[in-house]
Amino acid sequence: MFRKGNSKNHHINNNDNQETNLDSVLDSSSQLVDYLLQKCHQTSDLKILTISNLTLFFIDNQVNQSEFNLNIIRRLNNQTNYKIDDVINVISVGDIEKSSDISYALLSVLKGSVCIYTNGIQELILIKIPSNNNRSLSKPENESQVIGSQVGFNESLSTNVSLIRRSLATPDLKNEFYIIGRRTNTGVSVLYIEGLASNDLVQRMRERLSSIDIDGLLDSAELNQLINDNSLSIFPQMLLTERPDRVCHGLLNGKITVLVDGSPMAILCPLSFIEFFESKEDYNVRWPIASFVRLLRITAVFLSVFFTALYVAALTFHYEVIPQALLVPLGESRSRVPFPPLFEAILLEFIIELLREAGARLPTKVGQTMGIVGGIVIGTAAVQAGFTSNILIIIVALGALASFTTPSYTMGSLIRVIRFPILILAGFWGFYGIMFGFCFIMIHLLRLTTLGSPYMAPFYPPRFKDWVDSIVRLPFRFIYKRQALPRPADKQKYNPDEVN
Amino acid sequence: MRKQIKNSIFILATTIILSGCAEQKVLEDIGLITTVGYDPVGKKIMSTMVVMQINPEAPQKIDVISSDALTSKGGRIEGNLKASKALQSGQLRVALYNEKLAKRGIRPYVDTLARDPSISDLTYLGIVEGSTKELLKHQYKNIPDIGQQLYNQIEQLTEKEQISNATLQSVQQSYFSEGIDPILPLIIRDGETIRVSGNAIMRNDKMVGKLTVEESFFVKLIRDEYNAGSIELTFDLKDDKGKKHTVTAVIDTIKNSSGLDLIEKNVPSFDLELKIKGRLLEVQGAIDLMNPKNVNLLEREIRKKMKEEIVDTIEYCKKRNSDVFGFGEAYRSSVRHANLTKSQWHQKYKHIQYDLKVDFSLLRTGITE
Repeated sequence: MFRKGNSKNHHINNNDNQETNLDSVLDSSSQLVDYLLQKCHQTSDLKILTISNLTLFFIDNQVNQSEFNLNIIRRLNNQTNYKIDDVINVISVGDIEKSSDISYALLSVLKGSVCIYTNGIQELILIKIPSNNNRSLSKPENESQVIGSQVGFNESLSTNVSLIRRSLATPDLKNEFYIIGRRTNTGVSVLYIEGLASNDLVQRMRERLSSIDIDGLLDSAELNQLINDNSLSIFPQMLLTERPDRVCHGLLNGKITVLVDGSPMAILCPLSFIEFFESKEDYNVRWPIASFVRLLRITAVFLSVFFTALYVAALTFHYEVIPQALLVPLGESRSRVPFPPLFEAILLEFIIELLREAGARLPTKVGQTMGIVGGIVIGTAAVQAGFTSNILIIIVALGALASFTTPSYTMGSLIRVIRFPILILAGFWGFYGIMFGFCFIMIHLLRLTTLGSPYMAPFYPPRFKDWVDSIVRLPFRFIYKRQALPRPADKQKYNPDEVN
Repeated sequence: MRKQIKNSIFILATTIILSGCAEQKVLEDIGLITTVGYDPVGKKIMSTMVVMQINPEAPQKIDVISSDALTSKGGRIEGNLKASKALQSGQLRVALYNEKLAKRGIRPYVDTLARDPSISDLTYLGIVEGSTKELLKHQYKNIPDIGQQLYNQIEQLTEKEQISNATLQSVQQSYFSEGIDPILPLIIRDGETIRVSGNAIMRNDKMVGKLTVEESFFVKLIRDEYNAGSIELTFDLKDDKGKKHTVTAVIDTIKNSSGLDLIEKNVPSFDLELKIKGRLLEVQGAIDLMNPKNVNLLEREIRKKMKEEIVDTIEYCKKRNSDVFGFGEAYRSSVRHANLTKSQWHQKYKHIQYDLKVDFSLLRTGITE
């Protein structure tokens, strides 16, 4: 929706219309000061400092104060007439660069650089000493795993890139930097392994990123929706993950990742439907366990989406299919409920969703209350009051539980939402309605693409060779081929004969 | 894009509005018939329906409703007049026919069950010696739900291979095949219990005779390929010292296979070969089983006894002109362009000849070996 057909200069999407050059502004320090003050609308935290023939500009809280005092101010106090190279020699900060582009310099200052102007010289020195107001590295909150690395991304782009580089110490890992957002000027990094990732896909990603014209970009989850193949679909087509190991695993398989400054989530693509139910931990545990867990997750999806619907359909239309042993308990628990099965099921599903949403929003201190409210008040009391049947409580709770097994949060919440239309279809048309809903979803899924690749691969188009690492995870000697979805340039991971 | 969305919403809305809702049959609002029995009353039929009560406060678990009408479905309509909830037969598990009705032919009453899509093909059929109404209406001391009792009883007997499989599907199959006749379990009320007393043999859809449980065992041996449960046999035996015993042995068949081959087609003659491997569960009479000679003698006598019994059973069925063994199927599969019809085969069946070979061996006589 926000994409435009033609690509434009993506380096800086700044909305200043007069192209400033050195001739007009950099002639004297007073002209530069005037320009900057006008550009920043006399903001109070733009500090201007003059030391002999040097003029220093920075934004007050964006620079690291101690570093600024120690490495810049102290070293600049003993000379009267600085030349540009003298400044560079004197200052003991590594990240230093010269630039003659005033708008680039301004952007750099906004992001935590100190800009030094030597009177009369047509070049600016930019010293990067951003204040270190980052959260320290912590455990990933939403994607925890038992065996494997316990570190998650944080909000700093440079930290996140370094976390990936630490695991992938190869010169082939390529980082392409973009700035997106007319007002936010958010830094975006695209990472991929040159020689593994398909050039077509990388080019497609470049085009999508450079055609974004949006005023603000605050999170990778927003960017994810902007570069999706189908932004109207309910299904996520790119994975949002906060795990560096998941990203590295993807990169090694020829996928592309996008990091956004200020967001602890990386975008990983292209990703097929089934890969949303995989986790990095599946490779850390032994293969029978990994395969079992994967099958469990897929069963859980079907259970979660269809179980309540089947209950409603069987009780409303198809009493024939109820097994004889279940007939009496089902009938007796239903006979006290004053509502039709559909209404009963929607009510209970709604309560569960309320509990979940309240649980996610509640402060942790009162979080325990939720368990009591959910477990005792709603569970037991609702049955005793003849509000719902206890069999339905089991079914709904099972469905809710099953939906939380999905490793991807976006996919998990989608599964919970998709239950409702299926439930309503089941309540109006029985099994026929469930089948209708299932077909509708399947048709949609089969039409979806992820970065131009088919979403339902390896099932459709059938790529049987990729099945060994999708619904199951076979031992390493059998999964030596990279999956075909991202069309990797190098198809073989390793020689299977040399792997035990 | 916007037009596409508009169109799809329009199509979805019209489908919902125009198609309306399906007919609802909410579980607790319908009377579930679990068992039905048919008795002849003059030209009419008396239908007796066991209706499940799913109200936990109800004094009884079931409600038995009888009504008479000219057809079985008419009986349900009549019965509905006496019920608090609309009667539905989708949970039907057992259908019973009075012996007298079965002698007139059960075809119309089986056909109506098979035609109803809500009725399971795995519904059990059975024939009652006496009135089904009396069997279903009786207040049994130890049976709270006669419908469930009948279903569980027939199911366990079928699974344990003590009676032939008589589901709606298999009865229909035998009925429509030219060379085999259906066989249904015979059920009788015996005081406060319900007993399966044997099997009813049919000619097409008419009941023509009864077999005891022992005779049914031999029918199963020939008719079904898989193992056929256990049997008790009594016979005389001379042991290795020449002493005479009257022995009763209980044999559990572990494996049996029957070969039925046509050898002459004008007057149909068959080679019937039974291979049975069994183990001895119990033996009454003082024989020394430690002696292998005695085991051999036992095997020989069992073989002889079985052969006698099988011949008796086949002769009985031949006399009643009911081919429950499937001789006709063997005939039809070996004679090309036979174009066999049911009546043609029944004409031929009366005169068939067969050469019976029984190969019985005891695999085990017990843990003391």
